[in-house]
Amino acid sequence: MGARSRILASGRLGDVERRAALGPEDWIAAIVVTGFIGAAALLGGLGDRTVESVDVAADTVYSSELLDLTVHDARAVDALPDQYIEAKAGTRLLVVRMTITDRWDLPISADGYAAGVTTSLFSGKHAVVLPADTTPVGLATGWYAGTENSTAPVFQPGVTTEVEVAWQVPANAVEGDTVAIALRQATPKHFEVFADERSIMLATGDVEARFEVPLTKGDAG
Amino acid sequence: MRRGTAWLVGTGLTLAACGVSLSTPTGMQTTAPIPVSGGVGERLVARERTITVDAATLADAVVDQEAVSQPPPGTWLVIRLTAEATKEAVPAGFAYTQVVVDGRTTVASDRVPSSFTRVTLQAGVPLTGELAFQLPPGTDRGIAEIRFLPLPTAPQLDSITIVRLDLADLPHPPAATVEPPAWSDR
Repeated sequence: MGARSRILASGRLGDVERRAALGPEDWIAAIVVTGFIGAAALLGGLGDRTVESVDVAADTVYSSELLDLTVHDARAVDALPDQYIEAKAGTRLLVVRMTITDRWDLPISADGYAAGVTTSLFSGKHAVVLPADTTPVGLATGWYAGTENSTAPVFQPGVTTEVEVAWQVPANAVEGDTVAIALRQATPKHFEVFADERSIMLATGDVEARFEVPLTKGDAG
Repeated sequence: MRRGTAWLVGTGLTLAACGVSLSTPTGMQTTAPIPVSGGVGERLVARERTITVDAATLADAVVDQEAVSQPPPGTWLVIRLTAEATKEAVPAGFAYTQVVVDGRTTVASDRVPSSFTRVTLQAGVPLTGELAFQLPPGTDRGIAEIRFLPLPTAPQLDSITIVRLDLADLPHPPAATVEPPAWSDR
């Protein structure tokens, strides 16, 4: 019999020993916590969350949590005079025509702010739609298809809108007959700025759909 | 203290803390805007702007008198309003106007260049113009709440003008014409 067992058997516990001895509450708490962690592990809660990317053909609609997206076609050009954009040396402009429907209950701006939601749908760290196999240079430019209006489109809830988006990409990324566009997972994230709880941004995750669309080439748009 | 009493006191204090936490107003509630509400035809005086929604229409298309390319067909709510500054010149800020129908928020469309979105209001000089909102297809009933916000988000502790109307009561012509803002004849 060890010293600790002898003390416990004798019933003479000092403060330190009394604290160290496990009571029924400790065991209950330990069992509950262990059970919770075990259940989370069994359900995959402790593993990396992976999303299987879906391949989507041109002119086919894919519905994500945030939006319905159809990518129609793409062209590679050196300049877009209507939009006052010119590709820098070693790059080309990848112009993609797509249709987007906002499935959310708030408007989504292609680049900016609408109804408390700040979004940059096609550029930057939290871009939702972007070229799949290359890294664009600088910011994307989007506009309503069929117009010369170069202001960033705003997607209103439930409204289907056709837009064109231009990314400046390395020239060797647009040499093939097709080009891939990625749609990333996007989740609205609320955050507080000076007690304004309505500020919302989109947190993006893995690529959930990959659109392979035909690519045509031209000298200028 | 007996163990049972300790549990009882501990549980009571935890519940009390939960009650305090739940009943404490959030930052948004303590700084919420002050609504100035009314209906069509009512002159609503907020801190910086006086706004009257004169008429509203649901249309399948919008014809912009000055646009190079017309906005696409759809379900358009077009409101005609008269507005002026209350004390000193202020940006109208009507580009931030929102319409909430069935929990969905739509902002004033930027596809109608002639709409009443890019003007400065002067005190004592009422202007009349239109705002157009592209609603989800087929939205032709329900209460529409028009929120005139001076900023992109709800202003903190400032007045916000709200006009409610029933979409089912609105005329539904095939197209609504939008003209550039002009001086009101009031």
